[in-house]
Amino acid sequence: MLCSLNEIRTLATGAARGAGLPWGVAGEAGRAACWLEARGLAGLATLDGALDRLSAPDWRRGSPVPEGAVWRGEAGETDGLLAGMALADRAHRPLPFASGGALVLSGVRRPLLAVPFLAGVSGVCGARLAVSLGAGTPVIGIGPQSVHESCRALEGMAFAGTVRIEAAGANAAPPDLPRLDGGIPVDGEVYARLARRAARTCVPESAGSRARGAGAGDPVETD
Amino acid sequence: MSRDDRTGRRLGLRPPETVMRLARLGAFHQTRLSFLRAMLRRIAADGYRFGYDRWEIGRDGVGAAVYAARGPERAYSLVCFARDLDPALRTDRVIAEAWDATFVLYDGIPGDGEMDRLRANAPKQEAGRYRHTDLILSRANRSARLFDHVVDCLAAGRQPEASRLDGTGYVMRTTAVYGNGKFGIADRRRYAGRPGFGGPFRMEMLAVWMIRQFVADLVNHLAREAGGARAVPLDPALRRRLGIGNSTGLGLGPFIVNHPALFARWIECRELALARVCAQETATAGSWREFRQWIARARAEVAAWTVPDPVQADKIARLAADLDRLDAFAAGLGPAAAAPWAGVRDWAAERLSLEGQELTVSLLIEPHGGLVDDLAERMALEEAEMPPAGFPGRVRDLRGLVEDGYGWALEPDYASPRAQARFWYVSANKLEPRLGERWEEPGAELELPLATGRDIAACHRDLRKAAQDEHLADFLLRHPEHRHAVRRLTDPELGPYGEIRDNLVGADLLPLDLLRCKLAFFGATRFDPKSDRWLRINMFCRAPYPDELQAEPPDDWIYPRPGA
Repeated sequence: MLCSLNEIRTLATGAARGAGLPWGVAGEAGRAACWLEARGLAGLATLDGALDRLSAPDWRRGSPVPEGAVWRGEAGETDGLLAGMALADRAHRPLPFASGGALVLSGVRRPLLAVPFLAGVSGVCGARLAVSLGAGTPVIGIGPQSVHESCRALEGMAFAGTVRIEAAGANAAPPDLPRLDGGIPVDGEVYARLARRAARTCVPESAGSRARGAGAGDPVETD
Repeated sequence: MSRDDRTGRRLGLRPPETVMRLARLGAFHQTRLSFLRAMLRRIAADGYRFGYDRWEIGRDGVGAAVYAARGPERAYSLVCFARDLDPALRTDRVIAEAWDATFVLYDGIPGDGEMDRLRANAPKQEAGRYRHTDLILSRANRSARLFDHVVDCLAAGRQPEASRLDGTGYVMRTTAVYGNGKFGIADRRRYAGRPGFGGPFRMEMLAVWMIRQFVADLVNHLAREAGGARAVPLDPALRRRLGIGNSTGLGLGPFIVNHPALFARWIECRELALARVCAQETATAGSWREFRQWIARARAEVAAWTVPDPVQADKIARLAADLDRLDAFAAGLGPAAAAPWAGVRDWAAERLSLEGQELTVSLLIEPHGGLVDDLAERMALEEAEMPPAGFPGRVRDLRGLVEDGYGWALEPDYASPRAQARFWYVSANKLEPRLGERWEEPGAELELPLATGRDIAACHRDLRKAAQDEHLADFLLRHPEHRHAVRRLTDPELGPYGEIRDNLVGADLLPLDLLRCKLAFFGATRFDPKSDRWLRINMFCRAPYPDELQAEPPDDWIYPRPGA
């Protein structure tokens, strides 16, 4: 099915909230999924996969401990969404890659979800970022609000042992993925799974709500 | 907008603690910055031409029609599907599954294939699926009081009585106007950069205005089919008295809370318009005369604004008295007085009801199109795809910001049941926002984050407990539950008018005020509350039709002319 970006954002936010994330975190999950889909990347499917873990009561243990040059979760692994948020939140602080070093995220689940946040960090730093998953893997270039096609290597990736982030060199950046303005193809099964999660945020009708609802009263208009 | 404009330092904007109270926002009236008026001015200036592309409506009023709006660069089409609905199925509620007419505003001119697609979907409304070439989705029902009466009169060869038309104000009313990506239609982003459509809700307003044309044509068509040679078309002067009705419920309310930076822009532009007018040290005789004329026209409008709701009826009665006093004050003041516009504003603030004060704002702005109309083009704000990266401050900074600027949020005792008597939620049945009674209905654990004051207060409690030099980013890592509140507090676009300074879940909340405020920005008139959470309105009443737009000023119609 073809979806609008607003639908995608609303669906993803609702699903993340339905999975139990706080509204503020769910809102950022929704935006991140939408950002990815707007560039033809599998934001919804990746979020759907991530929510399996993020719906656990101890989801906060998937946040990284943001210290030093290697960030890892309390329990070893970290979630791409939470790692991305933690990085973006600290974009104004001296991150290792801002001074020529590298920051390594260790044990990242669904690393694609970190990309939209890294694009924001790139904007604050004023430099493109180069993300690599280890020797022999392509380097993914991320600019302010854009990403290179090599990012497709992260689609469908449930886990990356390390995600290394550095400032990119001054070489001319290859063209990034174009931004789509709607009519985004979405897998029907993914949509349905997320819609089921989002439905958990809705309140069923009750006698009280029926009595007080908008337009309550005689359902047949006489005006 | 200049920095002085934004801060209001030189212009003397009304302070947010005055403006951003819900009772005042719920007393707003349309102004010349309102979206439907700005849309009409712009398409008139751009020389849009209008015409039928198809008229395939049968004798029974069933079929399709397409109206084309051709502008300097692009064409848009209103695709209309009409049916003859069983009156028992006619309901304005969002639970409805059938309507008298359904509409899509289409990007371009649809061919036969696209018409087939739209015919298969538009009559189903929310149950259909749409594409990004479909810009706006809407539907309308006939007025049981007026539609058949008007058709019968015309079919019999006579015009309906003007007073009867005025009593309702429309022969059809829309029950939903969907934009920005709903059900697969185009995201606003698709057209927000096009000339003339950058302002808020311009495409929605264009759709409603073209629907009004369709409704007038449908009435004439049905009269002709029923009356044959005896039938007469609706007199153009009577036709002008008809707007498009609209029924609106709680679904509209959360928008201005969920989009605080955009809402702040709307308020700021309205306040700037008032401030620019009031900053003038003198008035010309012509502008003062025009102001007095607008007072007279507003008196005629208010005299015709009758509603069964006793609370609103009482407000209207006081408003009528306020306008009498305003007229007398203006007659005594005269254009030669020093800073006369500010004098009117300040006099009204001290002596008139909230309705009177806010209608005075509209009337002060009205004669000053040359001074303020540019602001209508600045009321949009395209939200960023991702929130800005980085929380540069520390706990003490945010705590200071809350304590300095959010006293209204900290004031209520949220432990009191009355302070949290309500909760906003999404209905499982219709996926629309609703308002529940927290202590009487299930579902409060699923509430929407619209209790802005309460949530800021909760965040403030934890800010007080935290180490004051802790980085905000670290605070949020420990307190992800406050992330939505911190985002609002640190939004650089929010500005002073971003927050409604009232408790949006308190027992005293009147949700109608949220709806009224937004509808006033749309340009609606004749607010007619049907409960504390839904109302009917009129849009485009007395506005020129597409075939009249180039023949007269596009923006001299909002209140009746003398003798009309």
